Amino acid sequence: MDTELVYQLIMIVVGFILIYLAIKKEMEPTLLLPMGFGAILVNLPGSVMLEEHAILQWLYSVGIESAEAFPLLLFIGIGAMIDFGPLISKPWLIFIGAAGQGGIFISMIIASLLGFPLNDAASIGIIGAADGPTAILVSQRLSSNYVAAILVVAYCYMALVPMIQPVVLKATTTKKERAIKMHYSAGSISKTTRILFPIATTIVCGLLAPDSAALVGMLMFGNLLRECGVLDSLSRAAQDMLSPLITLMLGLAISPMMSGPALLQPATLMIMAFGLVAFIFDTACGVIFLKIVNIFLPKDKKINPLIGGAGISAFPMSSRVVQKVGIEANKQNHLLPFALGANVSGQIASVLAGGLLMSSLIPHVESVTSAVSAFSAVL
Amino acid sequence: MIEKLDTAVVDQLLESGELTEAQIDMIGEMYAAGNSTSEIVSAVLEENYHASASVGIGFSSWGLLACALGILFVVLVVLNKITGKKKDE
Repeated sequence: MDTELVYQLIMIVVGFILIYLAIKKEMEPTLLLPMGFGAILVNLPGSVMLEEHAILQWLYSVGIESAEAFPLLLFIGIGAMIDFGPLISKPWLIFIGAAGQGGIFISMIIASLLGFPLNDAASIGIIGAADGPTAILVSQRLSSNYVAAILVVAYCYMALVPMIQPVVLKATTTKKERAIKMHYSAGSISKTTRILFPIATTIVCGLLAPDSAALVGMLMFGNLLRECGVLDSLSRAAQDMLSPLITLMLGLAISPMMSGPALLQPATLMIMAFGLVAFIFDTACGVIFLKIVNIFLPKDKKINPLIGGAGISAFPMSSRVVQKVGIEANKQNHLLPFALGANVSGQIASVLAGGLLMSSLIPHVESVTSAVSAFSAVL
Repeated sequence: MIEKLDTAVVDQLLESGELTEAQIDMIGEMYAAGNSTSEIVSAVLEENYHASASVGIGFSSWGLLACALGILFVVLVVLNKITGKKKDE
């Protein structure tokens, strides 16, 4: 049997596994189901789905390659789903988002030192944010050689948050720390604050990291739809229709990249390993940050370090994981409101981190792309 | 390879300060050899940045991220202060 056929068969099995996880385990079904089905479709021997004008290839070109439309539109839906209330009422939670992105930078450094070029290393690091749309945007804009592997790995790890995070949370905390009880007093937030928050965040992030403006802008626009109070039906449509529909399209659009011969390379395994490192470090950095903060806090004001683990973008999965691990240690623990605040700050922080990495490297990438265009016109 | 490009185009490429003449030449060679844009980008980045540059880029980006979120923290505190007087929820 030739190698190509073996790779295709392996990817068909992977497709079945993704469909099984989506249906039986209900893991990210809107994404894993189309991804799994697409993987089967593109890997059928003699499949025409990889040809230039095939529907899946077209979805990829239009939705991802040309203007990153799918990830950006998806962010409108995500923004409409997110209640930033827990973060607005407890602004200090925003620093957990900053700490929680440590894994991105640490794994980027490790990948680069191990021989990956910077554009690939940065794209690999962003997997740790557990933020699929940002991973797509960064790897695409930085012209990474491994866009396919990064997307597949990023989305798989996002689906695996409930399996990976508890292990890391338990490994980085003691039972005594996990049992720290926290009192949540819900401060009331004015409607004006809720409306001004997305606008102010867009302006601040857009000015500080212009390359993150598209993602932050779409996220915050979705949130403005939710909070403005005059577009409720559109807000509901963004949450209930736009978001799942675009996720489905995204799953199908990614599938041309799941062709066995292209995906099953040693580099993909490396990317899976680095992605896991990034993911573990992101969770651990948030936890360790709070453990350090606790050193300076009086005994009765200690913060449960588990909350730090929610400083990533996987919303609201990560918050639920923190709540579950917290309850296992202390049945009266109610960490969810804090975890949600940390989680939404992780959402903003991951987008900003992607924007900052792009800002550092995009001038080079654009110069090279211009030179390539110039040569393509004359050669 | 660079001589195949118009002088004005080369000047424009050099103007950005991101590429040298030798690198433009290398890009042309790689393009002619059938390398993809991603491969060419990686090759130029590898030449311009030593792997250790990632340490600087990584930690400076992390620092900038913390600063940006620090500014957002101040914005949130100010927003809460200003609008806190007329709470309508």
